[in-house]
Amino acid sequence: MLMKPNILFIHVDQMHADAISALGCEHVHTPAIDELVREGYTFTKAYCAMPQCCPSRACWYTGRMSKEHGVVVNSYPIDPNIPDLGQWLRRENYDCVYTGKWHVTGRDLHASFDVLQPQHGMGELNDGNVARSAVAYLKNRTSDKPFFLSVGFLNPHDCCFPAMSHGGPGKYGFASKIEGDLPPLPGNFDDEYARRGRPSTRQWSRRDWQYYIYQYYRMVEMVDAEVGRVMHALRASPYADNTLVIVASDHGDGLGFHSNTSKGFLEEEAFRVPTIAWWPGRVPEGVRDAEHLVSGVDIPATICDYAGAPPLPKTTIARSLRPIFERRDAPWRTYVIGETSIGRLSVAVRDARYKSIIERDNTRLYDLQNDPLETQDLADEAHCKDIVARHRAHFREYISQIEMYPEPEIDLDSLKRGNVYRDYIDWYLSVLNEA
Amino acid sequence: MAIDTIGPYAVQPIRDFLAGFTPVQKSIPDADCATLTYDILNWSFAPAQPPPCPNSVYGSLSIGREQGGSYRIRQQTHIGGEPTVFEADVICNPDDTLKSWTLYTYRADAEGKPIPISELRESWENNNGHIQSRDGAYKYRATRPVFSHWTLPHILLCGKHPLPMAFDLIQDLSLLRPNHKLVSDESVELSIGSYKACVHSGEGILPVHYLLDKDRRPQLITFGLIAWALTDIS
Repeated sequence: MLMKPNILFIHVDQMHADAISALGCEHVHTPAIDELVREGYTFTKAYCAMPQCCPSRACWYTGRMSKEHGVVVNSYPIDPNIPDLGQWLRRENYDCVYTGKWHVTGRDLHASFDVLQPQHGMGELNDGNVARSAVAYLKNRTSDKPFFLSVGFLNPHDCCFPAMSHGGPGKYGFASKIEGDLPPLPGNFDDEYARRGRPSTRQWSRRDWQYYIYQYYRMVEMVDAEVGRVMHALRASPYADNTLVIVASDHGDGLGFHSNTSKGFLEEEAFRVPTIAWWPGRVPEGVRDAEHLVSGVDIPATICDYAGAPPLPKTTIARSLRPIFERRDAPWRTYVIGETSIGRLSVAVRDARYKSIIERDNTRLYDLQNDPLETQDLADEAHCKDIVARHRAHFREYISQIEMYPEPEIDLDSLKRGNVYRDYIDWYLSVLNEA
Repeated sequence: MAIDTIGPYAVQPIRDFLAGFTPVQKSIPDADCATLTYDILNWSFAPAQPPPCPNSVYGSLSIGREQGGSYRIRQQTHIGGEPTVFEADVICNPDDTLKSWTLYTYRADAEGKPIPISELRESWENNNGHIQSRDGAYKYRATRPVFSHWTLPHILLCGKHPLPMAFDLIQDLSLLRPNHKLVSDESVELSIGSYKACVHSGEGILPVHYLLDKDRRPQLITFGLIAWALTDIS
């Protein structure tokens, strides 16, 4: 009988898709992730289902989009009736083990996984502990069952703290001492940020922005080393030949692009994420796939596929990546959807070339082939009307496919951000009725 | 500078803590043979509160150096209730670079006993920049002298190494961070006194500031969200 593969899911938090030296970033050094890029399969058009921690993570563990599982913002609880990956793979005789950041609102991690190291909201304090707990697990486990080990690192999410209005713990005054080491601002940095940007960063100088980005890259290097620590241990373990590794981030970070920090919006810097698969001999090595449009919900579908488990129930959008790795001739999606409920409700429709960001009263369109930094809104251009209409039709099709989680029976108005459900259900139904 | 002009940047992560900090005044008869004990502080996120954000103590650290350049290190931190313990024995070369070391880390249960699945033991050697764990899992190549952030306080205390220093760092005694430097920075004036500052920067770390008093005691060391505050010398 063939042994089921082990699955190691390593996830980082708030990592910009391009903050990887092997993918061309000259301002950061990520030798561990670089090695995964060299030996694994990297998707360069991979997107989170929603660019905020809890919604995106709930998508990873349920295979459903945020409007289906209920976690539409961080404070909203998950539908208690939806099984998660830990519960699902336990049925397949997997040891389901978790360490580090979980952050799926309303779901008790201990009910779904054996827990090694508890989560903490600061990567600098806990990521080393998380890595060591994973390494110790690989060395000490005696079970003969396959494992699903989910390793949740927090960094570079610590960047949220120096992005606070007063600079948090950021030591911004030190920037003048390392002027020559500061990275340049992105090509689409908007100098009107003092007027149009987030309130917390309107007082920043250009050098403050550069220092924010400098700190961010150091945090990426911190977590890269922890990824390397776990991968070294895996390679030296008896499990090296029979383990699928997936590395991903829950969402990206503004990183100064469009003069943004943080996440919650659907521009590429927050929406697009690193996604790498590694299993020498089973997953093609050294591939950088710019063809397939990948969603965060594809990760659980892929894990279930390799584990020999049936797909998680009612996963309408998720697709297993396995046919891509095995070069099987399988049709793939022509567009990928992202949603956000932070600030103004909006939806991104990304096809092979174009991306629309659709709000209730406005749509922007970008040609990502010719304008990857999203600087020119083409929505009102006459030659783009068909594209805007096509993306609108994709949005309608998407709404028709998902099964929207009804408003839960709790006082949503008392939660942070109020009752978002009512807003999006009204909006989605009105779009659906356009047809 | 458009943000944070409140005070010295070197202590920005611990401004709340500084209000109650009393420096250790014990003299050190032999800097080559001393144990430095620190509280490990963390900066806390308090969005609704005007700065400074609060600090709290989430662990302790003891770094003991013995004659001949060996160190005994014990760190205990609390995340999620029970402690995570890190113990190390380090042997250095005569120039204070790392020669060999052993680690023992674990997470303890409610009674303080190691949880077996969490126990990790490693032995490492550094042979002229060829660094490897004895189980073969980790191999690094360092191109500069190799130090640990746990040995740097004593190096600054002894004052034997002129600044600037260029080196590679072994973070947690198990991760190579190349291309680091330790340089003098501007002095830091606090209500409790004037401190000479050194700053350590490089790949994979946020700038680390060491604040030394007039007797070179490393009283405060600030990382990004973490800081060490000296509580005792023995």
